[in-house]
Amino acid sequence: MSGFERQRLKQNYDVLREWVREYQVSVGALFVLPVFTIILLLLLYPMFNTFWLSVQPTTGIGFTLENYQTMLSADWFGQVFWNSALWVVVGVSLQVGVGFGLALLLNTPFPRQKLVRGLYLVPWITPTVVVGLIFKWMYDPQFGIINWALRWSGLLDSSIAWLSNPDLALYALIIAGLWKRFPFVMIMLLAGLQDVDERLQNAAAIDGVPYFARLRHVTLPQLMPVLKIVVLLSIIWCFNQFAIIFIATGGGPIGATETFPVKVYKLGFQQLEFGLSTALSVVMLGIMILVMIAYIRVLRRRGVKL
Amino acid sequence: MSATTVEYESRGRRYLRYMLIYVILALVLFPVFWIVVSSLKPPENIFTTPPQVLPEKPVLVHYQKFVSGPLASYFLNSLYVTIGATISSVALSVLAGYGWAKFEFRGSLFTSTVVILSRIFPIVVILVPLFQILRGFGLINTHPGLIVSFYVYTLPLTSWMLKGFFENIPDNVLRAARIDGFSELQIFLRIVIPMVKPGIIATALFSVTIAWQELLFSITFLQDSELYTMPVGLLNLTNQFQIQWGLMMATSFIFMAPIAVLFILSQKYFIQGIKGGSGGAL
Repeated sequence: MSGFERQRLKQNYDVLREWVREYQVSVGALFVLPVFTIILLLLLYPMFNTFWLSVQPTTGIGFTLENYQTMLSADWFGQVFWNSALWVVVGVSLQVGVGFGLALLLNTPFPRQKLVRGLYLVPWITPTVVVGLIFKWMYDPQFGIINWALRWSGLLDSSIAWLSNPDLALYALIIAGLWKRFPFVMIMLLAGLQDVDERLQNAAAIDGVPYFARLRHVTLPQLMPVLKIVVLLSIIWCFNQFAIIFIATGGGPIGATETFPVKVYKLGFQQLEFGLSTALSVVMLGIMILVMIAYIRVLRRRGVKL
Repeated sequence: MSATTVEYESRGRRYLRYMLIYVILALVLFPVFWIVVSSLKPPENIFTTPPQVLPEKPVLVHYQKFVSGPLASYFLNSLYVTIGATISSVALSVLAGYGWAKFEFRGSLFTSTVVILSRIFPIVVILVPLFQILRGFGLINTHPGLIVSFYVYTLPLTSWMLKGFFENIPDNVLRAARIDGFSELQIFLRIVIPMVKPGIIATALFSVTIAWQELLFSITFLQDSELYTMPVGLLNLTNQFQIQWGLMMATSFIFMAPIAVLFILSQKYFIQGIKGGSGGAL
């Protein structure tokens, strides 16, 4: 660097310092500025843009609710709504149920505890794309291992086309989601169980309180804070999940596995219906805002300043 | 259950419990086992009834096909995009995390709330406008464009995680350094950064895991096949008329292997991250 350049740099630095002092800008704000600007530009601005695009007529600029009318009267709208509701409610219930059960089971002493707990996390680190693919392969109507196992054990007489049967496809994918996500619930609750007061447990056990009553009245109340955040994060994950469904079925058969994210993508980038895609996005955002409010409340109760 | 410390458990029940744990574990690991097995079977043995649980003569044809085909270059593309997104987002969020944790300024609460809410934001909602913005900057169909779009996922997570790690640094350390005449920049580079190294590693791991498997933006923003990343390549394998399951399983295995290795090497950091709730993103 030449002396002149160095001097220029020094001058710029001095100007910046002067500016910081004069306008009483905190150094902290400067540290946060880059990330906040990027979030503003890449997330908040596009979000308002989505609102704006959703009320634009097909040609020109103006204001119209045409997109919303078309969306609400379309036969796919109700289907997408119910698919999402089912995918989230059944999915989260299973994930939390199985995760909770396994957390209790793995919290007991057993040989090779550390290794086994680690291996239980394998599905969680499996990329969602791979989850979609492996279940697509295992559900294959002709050569899939699941059909074979069910026929071999006598539970089925003939193979079922799990992913091309509109009545079954969504449930089949819920199982794939369960496999991917139960470890997250499990590990969070396992961590929560470490904080459960052992003395209360032992006192209740000595008093002869049966296992499930202890679970309900001693363990569960102490786990509640963790459980709430887990349920919330699982709802958010399920609601936004795209890759598993898109890879395994692409939203088919006849829309039976189209949830909000899948439909938004298909409308926008396969059918090039930007208006409908953004209108559906706004509905999605509206639902999500309710979840966000709950999220803020739970975080506040956990002591996060918001 | 900790209560077992005072409770009697018969030997039979105990072994039943062990068995339950290991049987469920086998069930949980089966899909991954099946990926490996299917990837090692020669094509004619994949479609047999009953299926061969262990390949009679394992072959590497599918792995050879992966290496010689375009998928290998997709792997390199993925590597490039993931590393780029991770390094830049960790660098940016180290700054932000430090700013929130150690300084008081107007807007601190507001900006951090916006960022934590964007962590649970339904990303697909901004797909159309983000496409238009990137197109406006000429970033559609480029790797830098994809990296920038990944910030939407990574920055809220990494900066919030790092904020927590910076908060654990005692204020007195900073005060002492200020009294010793260090400038803010020197304090940041020479004292604070070395102290949050574990946090930086944990954050980078989460960022890698997210960027590596991203599908939605990758299929939307990349158009030329030579730019494709692994998730796009895997999706395209499912769209062929005759699905090559062997190749697909080999590719899946290669795709999940790097994350698995990272996980084995640094499980401690992952677990630390999950307990902070960041695991919700994966």
